[in-house]
Amino acid sequence: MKEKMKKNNKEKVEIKKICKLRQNMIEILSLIIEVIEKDENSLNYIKDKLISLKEILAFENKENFRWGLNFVRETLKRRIKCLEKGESKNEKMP
Amino acid sequence: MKKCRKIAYIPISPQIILNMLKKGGTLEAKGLPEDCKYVLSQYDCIRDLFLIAIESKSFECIKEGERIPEIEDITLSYAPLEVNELKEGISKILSILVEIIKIKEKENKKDSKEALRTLKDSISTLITTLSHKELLEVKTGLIFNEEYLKSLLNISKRLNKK
Repeated sequence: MKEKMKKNNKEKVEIKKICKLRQNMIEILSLIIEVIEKDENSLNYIKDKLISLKEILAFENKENFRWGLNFVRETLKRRIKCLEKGESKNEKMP
Repeated sequence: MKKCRKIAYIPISPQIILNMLKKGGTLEAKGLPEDCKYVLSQYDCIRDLFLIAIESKSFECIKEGERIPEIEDITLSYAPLEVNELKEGISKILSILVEIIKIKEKENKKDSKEALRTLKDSISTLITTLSHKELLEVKTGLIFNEEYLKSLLNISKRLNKK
């Protein structure tokens, strides 16, 4: 009984990790789409972000992985904010 | 005078090791000192734990006959293969996308609109795939996405040669 409960708990943890990864990726990819829609000249920027994302996915250290995803997410959010404010020409983008 | 050694145990459950052997994955121990060295390992049959003894300058000195402490702030996390599989699948797709962008950039140096459109469509498909309820659907979707993008990449390469 105890073993079964342990197994169930581990499975729950695995499912949680998978859900979190999917959720994070969906959020970041949606932000990338938002940048594409708002900026016609964002090709290079997006390319860099995709490369960063690919490198982050290869991180084995959990903390670095989490930090990397948060960093990309925040950078994209700031970029969108700047694009919304129309500062793309005057201000250095994140 | 009794000898002393800066030593401590890392307790690991055999269940975690079995899970790794069965499903693959990685083990990660947080808080291990950089200079730690392997000393020996033991099995605690009462608690059913493997005890890996390590030595580090940052540990307290333990005299002969004294109880060796266990590292309490260590956490062993098991990253199941399914998570790694998913990461790998997404990573492959991102690599192909980057390659496609590079080719499209060469094709149309001034006009990046087409490349952006392709990119947007591919990322939207990837989002849809990741949003599927069942994990099996996600995995299958990722394989399909990858295959589709590979063929798109091949076409782009051929067109670029011409």
